[in-house]
Amino acid sequence: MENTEPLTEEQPFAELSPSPLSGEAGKEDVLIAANLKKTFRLSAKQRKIEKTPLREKIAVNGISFKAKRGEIYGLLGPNGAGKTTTLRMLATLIRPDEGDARINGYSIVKQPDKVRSQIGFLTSELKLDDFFTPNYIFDFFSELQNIPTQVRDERKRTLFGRFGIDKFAETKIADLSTGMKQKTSIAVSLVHDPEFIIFDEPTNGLDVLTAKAVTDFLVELRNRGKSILLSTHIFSLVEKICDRVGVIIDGKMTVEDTVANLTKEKGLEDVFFDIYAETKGGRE
Amino acid sequence: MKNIWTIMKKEFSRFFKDRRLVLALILPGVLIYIIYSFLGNGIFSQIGGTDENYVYQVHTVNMPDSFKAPFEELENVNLIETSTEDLENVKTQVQDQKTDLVAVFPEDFEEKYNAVKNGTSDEIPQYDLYYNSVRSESSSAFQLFSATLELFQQPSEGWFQIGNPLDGDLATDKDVTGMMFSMIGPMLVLVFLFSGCMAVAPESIAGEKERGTFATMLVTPVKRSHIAIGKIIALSTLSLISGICSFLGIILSLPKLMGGSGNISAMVYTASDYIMLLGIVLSSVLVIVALISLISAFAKSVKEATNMIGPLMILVVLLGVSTMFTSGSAGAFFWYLIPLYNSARAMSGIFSFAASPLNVIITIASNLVVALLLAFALAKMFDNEKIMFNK
Repeated sequence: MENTEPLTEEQPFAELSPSPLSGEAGKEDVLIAANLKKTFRLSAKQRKIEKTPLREKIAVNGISFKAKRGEIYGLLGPNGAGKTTTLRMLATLIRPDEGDARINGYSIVKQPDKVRSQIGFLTSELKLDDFFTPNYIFDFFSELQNIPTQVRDERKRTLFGRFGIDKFAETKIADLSTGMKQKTSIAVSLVHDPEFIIFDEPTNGLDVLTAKAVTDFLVELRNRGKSILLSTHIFSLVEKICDRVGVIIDGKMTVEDTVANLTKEKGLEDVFFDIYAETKGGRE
Repeated sequence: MKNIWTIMKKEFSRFFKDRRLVLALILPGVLIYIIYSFLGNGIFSQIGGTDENYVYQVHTVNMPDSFKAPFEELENVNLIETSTEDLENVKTQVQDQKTDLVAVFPEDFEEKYNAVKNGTSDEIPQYDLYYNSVRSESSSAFQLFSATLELFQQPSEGWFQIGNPLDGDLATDKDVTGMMFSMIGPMLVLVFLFSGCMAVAPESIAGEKERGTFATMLVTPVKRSHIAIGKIIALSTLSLISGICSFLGIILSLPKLMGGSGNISAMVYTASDYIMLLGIVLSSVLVIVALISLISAFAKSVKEATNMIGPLMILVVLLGVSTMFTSGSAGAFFWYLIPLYNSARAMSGIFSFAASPLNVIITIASNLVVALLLAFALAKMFDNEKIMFNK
């Protein structure tokens, strides 16, 4: 039976990783990830493609970090670094092999159902059924999240209006443009007005106008006190909207700091390449 | 419960709002009715066999002793001398399937036979045979007896003949209906239910998985078990509609299929027969949907699911066919614990008017328990990242 209350300090979360990051005065931690580890088994075909004799690949190797309430946290890293795997673990789609994380006090390992009610998750892996309309899909997911009809309708009106979905509310998702599909996905991920929002590459494949609409909306959400975890490899996006950034390379968190601190001397792109060269050079 | 209903509503919307899918659900039944009705004269010959050691019980009235000789050499025929007064009684026994055959000879049969044989008369003597075509032993006795008597005449010359070739069959319309339905009914019901499930379940589970829409549902706080139960109930309802359409098609076309006799009718069954049948069909469809859903959850795509379900379909067909070679619902109760096989046996019993309510209850209960266990397994699979996200 899953515990429906947020875990308290007495419960043994701290034992998983003794204070992975020192607490920072001011804002409250909304996400605490402690020593997350995930390994995938490689098939013979995958081993051949990756030119490795190893049967397992460590996708995430003991990642620990904290995100604060009312901030946008950017996870930066090259393709295959482990960003999406980390987000999938936090969204409870997959379980960590080791470690745990708490979102709003709920453990992703012990209380996955509660975590799901706290988060909005957007990734290219999650699709909306092409057969249905945005209107139907919004209502469907609202019902699954137990949203009262009146609240649902009000929320739908706001979100659909904000993204211009209202004109296409009764158009089948299959007939929508890529940008409109992405906007619908964002709206659907927020049907329950979650406190913690996890977006994986939210502007991928979008034209500049749609991408701007999405980034503006993320800033708007933060201004409303929401906490956002964003995975991207677009430096300008991180510099523009993120408060804090973590750089993941080869499944490990190599650097974590505020964007302001990291970009004191040079741009984020240069900082990233320095970190990358240092990390890869140090290992090779 | 509310979430289960929400999942169910979505599944219904997915199918009922798509005209092609609705058509796919109903079309097989309509096609079966049309095609089978046009097939005309019966394509089904009598199916079934008898035990090798079985001894046929043949009652004879006025049978000349000289004609009995070849039968004495046959170990599997027991001739029972019967008086004319007892004739109606033994005919009733044949009708009630308690004995196999009655052969009635006129008193002067041998005299007339010899006259025709010697060419002194052209009045061909006749004897009557009464049998019940529904009972395979009776039909076999009829064949054996008449063939053995043929030894007494040259193939090209008719020295005697059967006097009642058209009305010797004492089987009632109800018996014939029962026999036909019990032979082909269970197979048809199972196959059509399976086809109905195949039309919806792989698309709903493997299809959603393949398209990435399932994962969207998995990040909501809805319990996996609610998703599994919601899907199974909705898919079962859809499969049932398809299965019933197909079955109605076959039932309505059956009289024409059997040669247009018009005597075979599903009306011979009582309301309680139909209630028992409905219970079996409902519980069977839950098991079939749960099995197909389980396989679909394993598969990476609809195509793969369809391929993986192939062997299960063969198994279901074989289970359905198994009742063609067994009669009635007799058998130990443990046979009724085996899912789907129990359905075939119990349906065969109902169709042949030999249903045991206890066996029907065991069948339904067993199927429901198995469906519940499969739903639980499905929920576990939905929670297994290796299964749900295997690419």
